[in-house]
Amino acid sequence: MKGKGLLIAVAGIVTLAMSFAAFGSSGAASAASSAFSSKAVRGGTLTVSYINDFATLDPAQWDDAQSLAAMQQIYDTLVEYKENSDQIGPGLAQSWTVSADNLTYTFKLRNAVFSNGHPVTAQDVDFSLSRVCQPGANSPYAGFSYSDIVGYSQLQQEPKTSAAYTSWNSKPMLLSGIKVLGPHSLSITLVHPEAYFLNDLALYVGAITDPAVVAKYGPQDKNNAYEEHAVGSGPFELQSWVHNQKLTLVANPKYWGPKPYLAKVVFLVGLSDQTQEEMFQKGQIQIIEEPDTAVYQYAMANPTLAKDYHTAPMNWVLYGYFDCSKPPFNNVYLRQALNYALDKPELIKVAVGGRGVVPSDGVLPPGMPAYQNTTEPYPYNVAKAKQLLAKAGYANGLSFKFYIPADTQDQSMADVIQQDWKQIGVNIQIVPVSTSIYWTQASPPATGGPQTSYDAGDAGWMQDYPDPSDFFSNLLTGSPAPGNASQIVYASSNEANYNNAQVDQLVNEANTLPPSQDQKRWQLYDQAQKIVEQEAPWLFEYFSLQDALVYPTVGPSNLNLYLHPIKQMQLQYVWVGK
Amino acid sequence: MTNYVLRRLGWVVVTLVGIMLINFIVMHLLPINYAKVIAGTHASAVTIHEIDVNYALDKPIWYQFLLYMRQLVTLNLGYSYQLHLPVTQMLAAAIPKTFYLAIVAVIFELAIGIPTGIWTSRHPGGALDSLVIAGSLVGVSLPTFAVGSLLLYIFSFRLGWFPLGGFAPLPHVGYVVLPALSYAITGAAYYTRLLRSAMLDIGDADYVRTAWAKGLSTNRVVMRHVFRNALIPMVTFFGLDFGGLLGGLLVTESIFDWPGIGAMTYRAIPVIDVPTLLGVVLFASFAIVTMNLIVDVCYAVLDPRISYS
Amino acid sequence: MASPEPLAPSGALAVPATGGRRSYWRKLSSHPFFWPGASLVTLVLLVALLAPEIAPHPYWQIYPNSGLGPTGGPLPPQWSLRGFFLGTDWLGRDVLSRLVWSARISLQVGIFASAISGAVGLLIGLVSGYFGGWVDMVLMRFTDIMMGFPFLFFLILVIALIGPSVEVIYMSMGLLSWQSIARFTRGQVLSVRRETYVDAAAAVGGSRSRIILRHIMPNIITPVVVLASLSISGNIIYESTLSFLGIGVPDPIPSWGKMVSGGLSYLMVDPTLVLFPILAISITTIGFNLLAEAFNATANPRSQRRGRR
Repeated sequence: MKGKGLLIAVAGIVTLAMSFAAFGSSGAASAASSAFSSKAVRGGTLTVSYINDFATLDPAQWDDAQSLAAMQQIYDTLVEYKENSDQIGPGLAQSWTVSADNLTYTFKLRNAVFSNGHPVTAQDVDFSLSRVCQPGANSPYAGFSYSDIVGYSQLQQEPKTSAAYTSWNSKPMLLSGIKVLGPHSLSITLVHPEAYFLNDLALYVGAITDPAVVAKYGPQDKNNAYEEHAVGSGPFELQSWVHNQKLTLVANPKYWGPKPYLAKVVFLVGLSDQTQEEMFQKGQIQIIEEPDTAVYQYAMANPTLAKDYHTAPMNWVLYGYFDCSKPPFNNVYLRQALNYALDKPELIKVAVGGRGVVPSDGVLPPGMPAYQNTTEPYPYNVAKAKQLLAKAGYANGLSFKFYIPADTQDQSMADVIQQDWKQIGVNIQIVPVSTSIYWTQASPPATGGPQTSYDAGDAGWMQDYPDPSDFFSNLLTGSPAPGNASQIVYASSNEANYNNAQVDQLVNEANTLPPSQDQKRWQLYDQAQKIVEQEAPWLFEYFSLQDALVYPTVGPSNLNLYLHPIKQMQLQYVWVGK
Repeated sequence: MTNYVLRRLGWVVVTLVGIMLINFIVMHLLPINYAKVIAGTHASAVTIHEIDVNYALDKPIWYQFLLYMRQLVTLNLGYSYQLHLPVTQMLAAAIPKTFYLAIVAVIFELAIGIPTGIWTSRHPGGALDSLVIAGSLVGVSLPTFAVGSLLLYIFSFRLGWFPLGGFAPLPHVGYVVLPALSYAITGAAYYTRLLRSAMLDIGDADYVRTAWAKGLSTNRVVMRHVFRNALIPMVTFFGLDFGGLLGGLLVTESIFDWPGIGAMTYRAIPVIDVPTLLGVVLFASFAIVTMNLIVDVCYAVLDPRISYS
Repeated sequence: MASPEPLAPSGALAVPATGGRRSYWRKLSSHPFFWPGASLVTLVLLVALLAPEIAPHPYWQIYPNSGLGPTGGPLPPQWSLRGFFLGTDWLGRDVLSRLVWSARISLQVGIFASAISGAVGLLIGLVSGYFGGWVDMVLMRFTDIMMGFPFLFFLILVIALIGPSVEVIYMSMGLLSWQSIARFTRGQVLSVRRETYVDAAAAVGGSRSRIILRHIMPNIITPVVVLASLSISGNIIYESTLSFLGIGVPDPIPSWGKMVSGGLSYLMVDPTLVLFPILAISITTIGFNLLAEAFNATANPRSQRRGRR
């Protein structure tokens, strides 16, 4: 029907605007005026410190927040979140229309060029989006984001000998649902209406790449050489990437948007805590993103630096998972016992320096619509824990391995968990695993079946956008495998191998309802959440804030530029003064 | 002599191959699916299989080892599982930095150790001699990370004379001083004790007494005869020291954020990044074995009694 | 990094043939390093043995309400017997208790690893030296290659298969650091073999094992035991380095190395977290090395000699 498209779009915007209000501008209120530079300065170098190296600069491999911080400066997407908000606005697409049946989006591209001078054309958009959808690319996000585009499912059925595998990088098979209408216009057709399709296009799996550059690195880019030479149309261009040390960007003079203030951005990774502290104090590092607890405590102990510490809400849940598909953790009493035995406020205080809130209901953080501010799941109760442990059949205790990503914060968390569980006779052996192995092994295989590497461990999830579907569809569902109904394909980050038919049904129903029925959707998600809380596939730990230390020579004072819940950092608006 | 060197070179190759083989086997016994690691998150079974084929991970160990050896001949050390970069390239970037640190460390060691060793051997039993003995005992007793941490605390944090870590190329010498010193203090202590003890031993030898009897000046006796012969055990130790330095410095580089081979190893260990680790082991073994050979050749130069024919 | 190897002091370790036990003891106990060394070692041994009694708190217990201000964090030393005498670490655990228990762990690892490497080295050196010929050659070549053995990777492999524990660490250290003890034993066996009484015993028709047990062993056992004991301080240092790198004893078991590596992040907040464990390591290893120096000097009086001017 006519007008329905407009209604959907408006409803979507209103929802997002409401959720944006939930983020609040508490950040801005807490920033003293002296904590930021107020005089815009052109030129200058911004140095940012991260603990771990970036995972990738290739949209086809992207699935983490930190890589997003770098990719965002280099690439553009068709549509983008507007400067200070969660509303979708023009990106490389100057304008667009949606067909009456909400199936076809027609985009008009602006006149933009890549940093190497090549003009950005509709063919480049077709190439970029099709490339990440190739089965040979194995993109972690393409399925989640673009499976509704016409032609996507057929592409996944291609035989191994087709171009979709053998030349997925340099000459992908183009999606039939994307039509190039002219050098600066194209249309994308969906299989069925999708309320969040524009948000999906704003994800950096859909970053627009230059085919000429990408193709240079071979039909399959077996050595991942492209990302060392990534080229995009964004405000900055990649100058060099020395792995595990430094990633350097310089301003892109050919950028179509407002010229960035900064001449150069240097990301330093892998520095020890004490080096970061010293360099920040001297102003050699201007931003420390997600500081370690030690760095945070150092800053807070120092009155001059304490005002450089800023937080912003974030939809980020930290949890432990238990492999629910087999013993010993297929026993709900055991899982509940372990939850009762963890003192969550203590965990937050000791391991993270207080930078979190107790996980009410367990799954959806405070910024989510459908969030219910109730009590924490399984409040600390040693007696009850012991009782349930006995009921589960482990009155004499239990030992198992608990796997964590190898960084100091997870280690501290595991130490607290270890000590708490010791009180009820459960002894765990903490096994740190390097982050690049850990997430690989902890996730269930895409083709179906449970993850088999870790029986119990730590994990976390940060939102892609503020809708509960993002959490449930990625973390807590499963579906029968196509062609083999007895095997379950678990969601891509469902480390717990959790599968409850009722939860699946509630989530599926909620996912397909249009935004006009949001109230009903929130109820369905909440019901699902209550079931999950009852079944305790997770060790509910806490909801985290996002935070950063920002040196006072950096400006402007708009916290969203450094701590945006979706956009990470927007460095084209940032300057470094004196 | 040439025969000796050639024979030794032969042994070098054999030893290196033996070391590489043991390392290779040990690493491949680990219960990790490397293809999954290389493929990354969410990889499908198809991709994993392709990687198995591409990296020859599905072949038996002996096949993989021979493949590795064959690629080695063309200096192709494979690609890092973690960073997907050619290991040769990574080594080429890291080795000069470790080399730089190692050379400065050795200079410090010798500059402190040799004069102290010579001086105390000429004035044994005095108060300063006892002080030096005590000091060198402490130097030998502390693990490198302890010395590094103490230097960090005193000279960086408290006094602010040096940065708390990081790397900078040559003109900025402030960054290399503390890491080099933290390694050098232990080494200097060893050299001092070694030299002192060796020189005292030799000082009593017959040919030295003859030199005294001939009326040669003190300096000439000490430097020409005593010191030169004391060099032999020192050179032995130096060979082990420098060879080990190049391969090691794990701890120092990790404390001071120095991006050399030690840091490379330190990051590759938790991931069990096999090609990187094999590359580092190869380089380190090569360094040690080569230094040993050079040391043995130096023996022949220093001591005419030794001949290898 | 190389496997832990005991540093053989220069000179022979054999108890001098003349003078007898009593004069040996007099020489030893009059050495200026003997009593200080012995006291320190005894102190550490006592602390290690009595750790469960003297530790004021359980070493794994987290006290969440200790700490600086609203953010928590490590508590500085309280110097009070009722509270946290040396303060708390970053998780609110008592530093003094952890220091004391680390002594127990370090000594356990150090002593057991030395015992194992001593036993293995003795066996291999004995067989190699006594039988000679190709047995000797094979064993010695094996020893050479084992010197390049990837100890770190072996440890990672074992930990991945069995799980980390104190036992795994000292057994691995012991089984991989026997090389120089084996060499030394072989040397001793060779020199004893040349003694005429051994040939005489063989001529008279003594069986091999009798010859080994009756004649060879008593003459070599003392120096080998001394050499193995000298490796204790090296093993303690090695264990603390492993723990520093994160591959040592598993949580919640404390180790001085782990305390230093965790404490470095808090260097600018509470440097005592780093300084106290380093002090503990220093006291321990200096004590052992002082003793070693005393033994060494007693066996080789030359280092005491006054030289000429």
